[in-house]
Amino acid sequence: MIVPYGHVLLLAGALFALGLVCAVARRNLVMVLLGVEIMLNAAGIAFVGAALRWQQLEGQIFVLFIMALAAAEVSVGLALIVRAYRRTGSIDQTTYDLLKW
Amino acid sequence: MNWGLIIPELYYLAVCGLLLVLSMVVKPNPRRDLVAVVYLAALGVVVCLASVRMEGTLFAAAYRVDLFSQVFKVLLAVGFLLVLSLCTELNGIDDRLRLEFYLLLTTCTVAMMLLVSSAELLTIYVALELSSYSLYLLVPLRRGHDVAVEAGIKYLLSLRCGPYD
Repeated sequence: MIVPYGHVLLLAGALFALGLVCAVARRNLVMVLLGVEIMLNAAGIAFVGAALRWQQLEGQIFVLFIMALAAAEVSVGLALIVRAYRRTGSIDQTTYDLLKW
Repeated sequence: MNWGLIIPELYYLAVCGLLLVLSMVVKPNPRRDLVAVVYLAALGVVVCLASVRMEGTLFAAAYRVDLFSQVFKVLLAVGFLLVLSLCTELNGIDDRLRLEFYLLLTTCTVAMMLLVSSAELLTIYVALELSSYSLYLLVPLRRGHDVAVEAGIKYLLSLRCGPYD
């Protein structure tokens, strides 16, 4: 493995932090969904790095599955957001406060 | 590969496909649809009961069919039938969305049937995700308040970020 495993983990951690900030701090629902997807991809990078580090290819297969399922999930999420936009006329997440008490 | 081992899953998958096509081409008729789906679910219980004694593994031992999983499949099929029989007074769902509601319920049942047979992390993950996707869509299907849509979005996002399913 040419790239040291520590660097891969650093990259995955940085990407995860970016996704976390995007998911928590942004107010646009699409951006929140995007942040969650970035976190999933960061986990995928860690998986691939570990698969190379220990020479076990199951990790890469797993990442392929995660990517396919993430694609399905993002389509579900976007459909939900479109539905919510039609109902409430807003994709700003601070306007979704009916469940607060 | 022995396809005979997964006959219950294949049957419910076929029901899913049928409901998907019907939900796109058929004019909604709640009474007729419910009767048809209940009959399909009852046939599903029979299929599950007929395959109780099957044993074996599939997909490089990632999917295991044994007495434990088959018994739970029968229980799931019976539960599905009971849930559908409760749907006679289904006022929360629009008439035109009924077939899609049944479709998502069936998908969820298939996913849980896959889950009880899963023997490896990969298959467990796929089965869990499949069941949760249909649940994400079932939540905002409810007619009426904006609360349902909001709850659906929060369910999706919190389950993505939080402890996995």
